[in-house]
Formats: sequence, C-alpha cells, structure tokens
Amino acid sequence: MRHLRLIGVLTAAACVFTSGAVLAQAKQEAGVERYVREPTPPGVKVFPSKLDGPVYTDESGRTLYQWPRKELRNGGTGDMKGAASICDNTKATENIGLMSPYPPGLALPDVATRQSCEQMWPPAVAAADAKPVGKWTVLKRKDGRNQWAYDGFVLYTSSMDKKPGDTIGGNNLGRSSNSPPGSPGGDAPVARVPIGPSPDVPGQFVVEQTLVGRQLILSTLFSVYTWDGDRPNKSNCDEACLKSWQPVLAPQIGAATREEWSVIERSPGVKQWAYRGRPLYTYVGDPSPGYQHGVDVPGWNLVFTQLAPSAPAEFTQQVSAAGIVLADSKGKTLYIYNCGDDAADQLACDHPDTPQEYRYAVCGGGSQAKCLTTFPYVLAQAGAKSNEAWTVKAIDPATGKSAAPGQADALQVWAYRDRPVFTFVRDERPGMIKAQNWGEFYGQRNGYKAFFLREEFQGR
Amino acid sequence: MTLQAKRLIGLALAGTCLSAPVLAASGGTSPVPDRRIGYVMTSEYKAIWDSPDGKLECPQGINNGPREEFKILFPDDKKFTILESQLARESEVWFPKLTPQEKLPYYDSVAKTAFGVDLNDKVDANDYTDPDGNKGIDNQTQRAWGCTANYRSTSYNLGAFNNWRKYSYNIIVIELTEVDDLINDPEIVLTTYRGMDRPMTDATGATYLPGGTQRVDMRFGRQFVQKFKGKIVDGVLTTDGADYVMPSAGNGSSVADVRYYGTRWRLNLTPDRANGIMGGYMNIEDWNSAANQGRSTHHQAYGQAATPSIYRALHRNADYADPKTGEMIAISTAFKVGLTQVFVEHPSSEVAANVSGAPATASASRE
Repeated sequence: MRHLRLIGVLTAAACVFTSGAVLAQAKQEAGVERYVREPTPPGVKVFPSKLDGPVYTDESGRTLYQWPRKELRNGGTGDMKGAASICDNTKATENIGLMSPYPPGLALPDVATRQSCEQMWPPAVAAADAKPVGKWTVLKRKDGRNQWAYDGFVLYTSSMDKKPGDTIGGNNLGRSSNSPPGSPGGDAPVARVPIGPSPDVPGQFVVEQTLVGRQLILSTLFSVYTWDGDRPNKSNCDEACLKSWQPVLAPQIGAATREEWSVIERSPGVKQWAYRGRPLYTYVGDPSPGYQHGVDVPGWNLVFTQLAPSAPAEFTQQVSAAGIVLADSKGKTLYIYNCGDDAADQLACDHPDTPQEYRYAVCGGGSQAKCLTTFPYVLAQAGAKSNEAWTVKAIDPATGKSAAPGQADALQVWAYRDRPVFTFVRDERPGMIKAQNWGEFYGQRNGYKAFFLREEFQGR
Repeated sequence: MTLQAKRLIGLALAGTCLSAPVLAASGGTSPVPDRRIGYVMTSEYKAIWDSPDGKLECPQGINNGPREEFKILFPDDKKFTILESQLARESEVWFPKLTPQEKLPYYDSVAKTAFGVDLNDKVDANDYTDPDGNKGIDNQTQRAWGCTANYRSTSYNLGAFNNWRKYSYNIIVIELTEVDDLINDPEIVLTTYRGMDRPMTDATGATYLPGGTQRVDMRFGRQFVQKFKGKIVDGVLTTDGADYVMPSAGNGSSVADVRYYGTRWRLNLTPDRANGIMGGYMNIEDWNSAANQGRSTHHQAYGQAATPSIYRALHRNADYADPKTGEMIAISTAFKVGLTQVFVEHPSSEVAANVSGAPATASASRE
C-alpha cells in the first residue's frame, strides 16, 4: 500500500491530484476512472464503484468476482485458469494445513453453522445456450450448470453484497504492499477479487488500488506527480526544476488518443504525457518504487484516477515512524482486521457475521472482554454519516457479532467496507503503530494492519 | 543517468548540508576536519557466545521450537479443534504468560563467557567475562537465548537479522561530533539517526564501501534520534548510557521498534569503519512484539524459536527494573555491530519547515 490521503469533501468533477503538504485541505475534486470498453455478455454492465473503480456486474447489479488459485505454504487452492469451479456445496469441517506451522485435520470453529463455499459465493450462472464473447467464456460446473468465466477464471457473486455495485465480499486489505496491483499478499488468504475492465491508461502506467483511492503510477511502480506551477497542457518546469523532476516522456509516435490524456511538446521532439491536462513527472528523490518523497515538496501532488470515499470527519491523520496513518479523533491509529481460514474454500473470518474465535485469539488471548480493552472498537458519534466505504455498524459487545435489530446494549462502531476498525491500547501517543502486523502471518491472515494513508517503508 | 546520480542531484537541490568528508576529500590532513564523522550500520548480530557443538553451554541440548512444542501439547494420535490447539498457541504468542509450563521445558545457556558491555559499572554475581577478559559484562540474553537455535551463530535466522539492504526502515546512522582526534579524544558526542539511503556497496553487492551518503530522516524518524556522550581512548570509542529506540524491521513490512534502556556503545574506530558492540537493557514486551510481528510463528519455527517460552526465559533472567514501578521490564543484551563511513546529510531548516505534520516532540521521545 502506498498511501497519501485527503480527508475532505469530494465533489463530482474532473481532477484528482493530492498534495502531501496540505493533507486536510481537499482542493481536489473527484473524478471517475475511465476504462477500456470491451464486448460483454448480455446483461453484464460496468458499475463505477467508488471503492474499487469500474467493476462488472451481472444482470441484477451484483458485482462479479474471481477466485484465482494461489500457492500457499503447503499447497494451493482457488480456481485454475480455464478449469471448472472448485467452489461447490461441500461444507468444510477441518483445516487442510495449507499454512504453517500448524497441521491439517483441526476442526474448524464454525462447523455447526458454517455455510458452503457455494452458499457464500454463488456462481455466475450462464444460460444453457450462452455464447462466449471477447474475454468472456462459459465453463461447465460439476453440477452440470454453465458458469461465466472472464479471462479464463470462473465468476461468482458474493452473499455479502447487498446493493448493486457493492464490493463488500472482496477483500484486498491483507495484500502485501509489494504485490502486483490487485493481487493478495503472500500469506494472505486466497482472496476473491472483483473484476472490471482495464483502466484506460497508456502502457507506461498502471492504476493501483490503495486505501486512498486508485493511484496512477508508472508500470515500473514509481510514483508520478503533477505540479501546481504548470498550466493546462503546459509545463513550466524549467531547467532548475528539471534537476529534481523528470517529465514522463511520451512516445515520439503512436501516442494513442485517449480521453483525459494528452501529449505536450516540451521542446522540438521531446514529448511529455499529461493527464487531465496536467503534465506528469517522476521525482529524482524517490529512491525506488513505492516511495512518495516528492509529495513533501510544496506544490507537488500524487495522481489518482479517483479517490476513495471520505473518511469520517472526526478522524485525523498522524505521522508515524513508517508513514502517515488514519487515526481516530484522539489521534489513535486505526487498524484493519484481516482474516481467512485454512479450509480448502478459504472463507473469510474478518467480518462480524463470520466466526470471531480467530480474532479473539490475537486481540485478547481468547477473551472477547479483553479484546474490548486491548483492541477497542472506534465508536461513532450520534448522527454520524455513512458513505460507500465508511458505515456505522451495530455490534453486540458480548459476542463481537452484528447486533440484533434494536439491541439496547449494541455498540455503534465505525466500519470500513462493512468491517469494524479498531485502535490499540498500547498506542499511547498519536502516531504510534504498535499493532502494525499484529497477529498471524504479519496481520495478513489473522491480524491487524495499520490504516496507512502513506506507507513509506514497504520492503521495496 | 543512473538512479544514484539522480538522487544526488535531487538532494543537492533539496538544500542539504554535507558533513564528514573522508580523508581523501579533505586534502589528506584529517579524517575529521570539521570535527565530525558519520557511519551507517551495515551489520548487526545478536551477540551470543557459543561453542562449536553447543555441549559446553547447552548440556541439555537445543530448545524446542513451535513445531516441537505443538507436538508435545497436541500429539498426532488425537483429534483437536483449531480453537483448542492453533488458536490457543497463537493466544500465547500474542499474550504470553509467565506461568511455567511443565510440559515445555526451556533451558538457559550455562556459558561462563558472553559478549557485551558493562552497562552499570559494576561486577555483579551474574555478570560475564567477555572473550577479551573484560569483566562485568551485562548480557543476560546470553542465558535466555544461548540454547535456542535462532540466536546461535549457526542459525538460519542469523542472516535474516543482518538483512540490512533489504529493508529501508531500519537504516541506522551514527554521527560523531566534537571530535578532534579519532585516536584519543576525551569528549565526543555520538548521535543516532535513521538514514534514508541504502548503504553503498561494491559492484558485487557483498562489500559495503565507505564514502557513501546518508540523508537523515527527520520526516518520520525523529524518535530514533538520541545523543550519547563518549570518549575515545586508543582508537576505541565508549559512551555513557542513554535510552535508545532502535528501528526494527522484519518480514511483511513489519516495523515494530524496541526500546533499549541505558544503551552504551563500544566501537573500534577507523576513518572507514567502526566495529564493536552496542549493548542495552531491552524492553521485553517490545521484544515480544517485534519478534512476532517481524517473524511469524511459521518463520520462528525455522530457528526453533518458541516465543512464549523465550518470553518466560527473558523475564526469568530480567535485570532491569522500571524506575517508577520497580517491575522488572527489561533484560541486558548486546549486538555485534559493524558500521561503514558515510557522509551525513542533514535537512536544511528550509526543507524541514516545508514538511508538514512532522512530530513536534524532541528527539528523545520514547515509546
């Protein structure tokens, strides 16, 4: 994750460029990511998700997901490209030892109530006479039904998604920061990821999903910047400026015309990319991919195709030893909890409606009561406003599960992607991140990661 | 233009001031013409003394690790739930208990020798003598870690601990100031910083070279700044004690830092290198967090390091009490460290002022 966050009101219009020196002043405006249009089956549409960018939905508006196979410590699971789904109506009862050092054959904590993979992830069923189109193909399930596949991987919807375009079921939160964009981290569960069309950006660029928004970076993973001193499609970066800032050069020929993209000629024969009219640069002070040192220089901004929805107004940003984190109103760092079990279907355990025993182990030594003091929820103020990312969720304090409707002692807590966020009791001062990577496998599989808006040190 | 060249240009523009020119650059008159010299830490090993076969200091053998302990508690011939086995063990990892575990023996090293420094200017009953004959050596982790594979000189993890070039979070820079002579000087100041640049190597990448540059991180790294008063006698620098937060990085982008109380340095100085020992009283809770956040139970198993058992051993041998509460919270330890000369670049006041959100606390802030 490589994050710099603007907390502020986002309005619907054009440009999204952020300045690290002016974190609390959202002068930028939200854009909508453009995408490459491609043929789709009847009924499939593109939904402009504010969390995940453009995603494909089925005829009912349900987001479509893939579950690509990934190798774990002792073998892999997930769907193989071009192969039938392995997510069926079997209800797992034991772990299968894909992780380490614990052996297979241990009884899962939710055997009595556990749902099958297919119940949690209903297949995107295709009609008996469905025809392939473009990247879309049809594969036969073991039960004889047809299932849509995209780019060779069969597709699902999520039982957790409630509204059209929801992407609550997917979980990229635990991915390692140096994983390729969109892929889960090395020891994270084999994740389900929403699918969407490719961003419409030149080949020199990629769009990376971050907690701040969808960031435009070079395909080499170096950050790109814009400068407030430039004018629309005009670079004012002079000889002195160029010693610190390198224009992102465009090809001499064949720079395809794309919406929101232009090529400016700095001098005869020297062409530079501009995005939404703003010339693009890299910073010579970024030592390697992933760094964002340039944003500390006044007037220079990172570039996003679209920003994530705003964090609650009472939240703050704090400088930690590893970057900038999102914090509660008192400055305590926020943490996201990640969890996936070790069964063949790798079902999530990171949500209040999933087993809480995993979380209890790492937040309170097995005790929910201790969890409430060690990793307390972030309570929402009365009248708090929700958006697509941040919602107020009612939690039963005795069980950690979603509260019953009208439950009198329910805690009203802040949730990100429908999952509560937490603080850590040992973070005694603003900017402390003592629970970063707390839990099994660096907080990727059963544990906590700080809500980084800008993470400086990622092992890159 | 190479990345290194670009970076140097950028740094020059950013308004920095260079310090610590090396001998060649200063006209050959002195390695410290402006009374300062910098070094970057390029090796760091837990300072544990061990014999080749371990029989001398570990007559009962090498301690069990996570896999071995799990098998003792949950034998293969019975069925268990995740809750009562895996999650119970992980509960112990993150919330270790001091209650002795009869089924899980853990043996201390009985060596009479240890590396380290004298942290309290006393020769106590439990103190060691180092291989050079220095008495009063405070390093109780010699006992707690000495029979655990992870910390022994043949350890798989020994290389991982020294993987400085892989991570950028834990680049430690020291700068010696008020230095008149690198051989003998009665009063100098050693200041620690976090550096921002990968240490410079030769073309093979295997050898660190003097003459590199390190920018000081005053944006995110202020808590790692600490000053130590010291002296140089016959080329050996020793410092008084001061508390120090060491940046600690590990797998999975972990960044759990560890407090060392009363830290002291003893370094053999040359214009190009500084080699020796850094010792201090290590906060045990910080160690537990850093150990487990930096290396998962899976990775700890590579070095047969069962952290709940080690935690108990560290507390059993703890020798530093919280001055306010009297509670034993830390244990003496030591690192063998190697450092290579660098130019230290401090941000100019103009650049520092442009950085928003920098913590206002002084350099000695502690977690």
